[in-house]
Amino acid sequence: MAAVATTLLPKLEVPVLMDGEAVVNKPKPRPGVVQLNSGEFDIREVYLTYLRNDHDLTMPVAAIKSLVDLVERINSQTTAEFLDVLNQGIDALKESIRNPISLSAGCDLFLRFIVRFLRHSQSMPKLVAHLKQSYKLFDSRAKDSRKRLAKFGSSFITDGCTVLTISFSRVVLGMMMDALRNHVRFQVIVTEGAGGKRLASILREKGVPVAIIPEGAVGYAMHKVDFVLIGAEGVVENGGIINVLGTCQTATLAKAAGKSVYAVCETHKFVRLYPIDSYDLPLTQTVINFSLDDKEEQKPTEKDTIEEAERIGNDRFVDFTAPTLLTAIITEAGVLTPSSVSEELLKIWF
Amino acid sequence: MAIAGEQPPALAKFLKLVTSIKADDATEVLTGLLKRREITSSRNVAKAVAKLLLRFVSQNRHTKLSESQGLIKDVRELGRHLVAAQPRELVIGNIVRRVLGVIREECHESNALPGFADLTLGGRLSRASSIGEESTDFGSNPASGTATPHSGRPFSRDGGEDDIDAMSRRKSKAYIPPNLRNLTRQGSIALPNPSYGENNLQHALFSLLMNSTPLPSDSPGLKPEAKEPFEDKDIRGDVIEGIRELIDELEMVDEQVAAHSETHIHANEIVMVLGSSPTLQTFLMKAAVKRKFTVVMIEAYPNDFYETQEVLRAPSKTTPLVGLKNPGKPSPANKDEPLTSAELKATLTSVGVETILIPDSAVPAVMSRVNKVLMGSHVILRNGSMITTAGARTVARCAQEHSIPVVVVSGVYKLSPRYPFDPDSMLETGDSSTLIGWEDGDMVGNAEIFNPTMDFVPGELVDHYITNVGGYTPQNLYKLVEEQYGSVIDTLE
Repeated sequence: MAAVATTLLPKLEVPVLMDGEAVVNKPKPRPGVVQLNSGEFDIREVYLTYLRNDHDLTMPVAAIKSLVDLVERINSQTTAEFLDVLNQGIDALKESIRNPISLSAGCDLFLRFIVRFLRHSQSMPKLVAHLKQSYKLFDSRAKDSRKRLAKFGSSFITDGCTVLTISFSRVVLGMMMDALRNHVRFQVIVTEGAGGKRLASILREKGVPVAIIPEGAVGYAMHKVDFVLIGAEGVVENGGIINVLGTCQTATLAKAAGKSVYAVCETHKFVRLYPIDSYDLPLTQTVINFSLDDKEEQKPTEKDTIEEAERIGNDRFVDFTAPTLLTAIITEAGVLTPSSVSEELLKIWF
Repeated sequence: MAIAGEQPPALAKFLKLVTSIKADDATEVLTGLLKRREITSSRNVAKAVAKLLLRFVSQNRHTKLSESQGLIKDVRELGRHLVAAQPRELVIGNIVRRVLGVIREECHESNALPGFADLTLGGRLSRASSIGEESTDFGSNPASGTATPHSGRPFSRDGGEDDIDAMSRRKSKAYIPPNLRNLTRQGSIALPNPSYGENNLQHALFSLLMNSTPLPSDSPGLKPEAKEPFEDKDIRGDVIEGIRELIDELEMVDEQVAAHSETHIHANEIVMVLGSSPTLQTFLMKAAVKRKFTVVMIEAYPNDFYETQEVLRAPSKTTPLVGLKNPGKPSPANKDEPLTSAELKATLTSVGVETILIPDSAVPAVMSRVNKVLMGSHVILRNGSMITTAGARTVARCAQEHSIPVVVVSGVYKLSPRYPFDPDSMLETGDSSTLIGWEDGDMVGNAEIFNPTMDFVPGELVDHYITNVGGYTPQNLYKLVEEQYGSVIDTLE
């Protein structure tokens, strides 16, 4: 199927280009660039800059901030035009980032806000003024929610417990830090990949005994663990989570061993998607790469970008963990059952 | 003062006492009774606490709407005191929170003046956020307080604008989803400024993006001086009315739960039953009116076996003991709760239900022959798990192995908004002499004897909860928590 598609597409496109109409070329700009009356706006670059500059920023909040930047530059006369450009911006951003799941949560939230705001006040200057005013608050509000979450979730970490976590998650780290502030003594097992070592060194610095294990040892370690804490890039409508590759297997192993699995994330990462399994996500990633060639196999699968991926968070492989594998989702709004996610989403959308 | 040695019918005595003495004294009496476990069973505790709160509110110096915060504070203090007296009796916290909900409800209803409602709501939310040490928002719908049984009235907050978003008009309540709410809170909550005149903007996520109008965080709720068209009305009467309704609910809960029995027990079914709670009994009795079925009673040795047997015994000289709650051997404290005439008259056997009594050890053997398992509960927790008679987890686990549905009947007053972070701390251990008497010196001297009276049953093992407000799956209980307690869930522990 895929082969057919790739051979067909260039053939179709070439004649269009040959026709040489400049107009046809125009709507095909570089990825992530929006055409405005006042010039170009590279929303992708803005978004990535936000993420690079502030490591504590989550993807949805960075997306909202870049969209606010975009809105400030739109000087359109009509609401329809305004929304049109905004939608273009959102599409450009989603298309230019390989894994747009998490950021699309922020985009959707922002768009819903704009639509409602305009419906009631009809005044775009008011909107822009308002956004400018509350612009600076986004960061602090998002960070506050992480703090609240940490306070909430740290009750799960009790004296003498062993926590298994995978990769580096800011919210999980926040929870552990909060537990530390409450003088809880616990130990952590973390898998080495995707920032696990970074988490380990931060925790060790604070005096928490940490064991780093390879991904393959999760099943081995599971019986020494009291519960599993995992972060999430996004929580989808059915209550499942999208997170770094390896989450699904960890959750499955935990379920098999009868251990609780808590997903930890802020509610602004709730995203309106309904994936059935990991292959149903709106992104392309070749995790499984069949080959007859040894050399190709050697090729590190984007491992070199790990450092960058950790920071920006959208260049790593992800998988989908089904809601049945999760015990609960810890959010700043409380400990939710996976089935309550769809309800929270519905409340925003309808 | 009731003294343990006299073995008084503690609840009856307390209920009589509470109407005649000062609320503070009554609090002391109840604290003592709770500490000494002279009042056990969720129902009795709930009744005692509700009556005490009735007395407390009627004697409290805060009566006016403007003083409602003082009243809430006082009730919360009282609640903390009682919870501290018996931290494992979660139903104390439930009742206190329900009463707090009633008070808040009255404040809102009395505040339906346009413009003012916004302020109240803002206060309510900002309270939830600003006093982290006092109350915790468990992420529920702030407006769902309107859904408590005491009020059919929604907030009248939309002010009659015509172009209100259809949804927000339908709901007619200001909902702020957690993902926006949280981003806006922390001290100064970013609720939409009423001056925008767009009330329903606060309906959704927008508040996340709205710029904040810092609301007075110290005096949440009511700021009469903020708006002059404000009548400082006396809310005490309404609050008392609300508490009375709560007490009525406690009286009627069994009947209401039993109303569902016909749909759950079918003809010629074999039902395995654990526990002797009056709710369960009424449920079965009601089903027996229309249906012919078989009950397999689990003996529940050693804490509940006497009562279990009484449920089966034909009405005779021992009948007055039917429906008693105290664990262990019968004691005069069983007269705590005056028995209803129905209970006096009938037991399962007397109405012609075929009953089989089995020892606890036979549960796995019999399970395959059973259609469903029925249980009572002591407390239901927010995540769908519950605490109930010892042995329940074994039974539920066994039922799961056989894919037999486990159905729990319970009044909604037993639903606690707490999350079981540490379930073990919620369990109780009973008197080990029920197991091995002191006269058995060889055992007492050499073996450790452990008699847990409660069991923690995780939500995965329960299929359905039947409450007086309908049936719920464990996964959806959080909705019921929102309905019952609203968004502001006070921390009493």
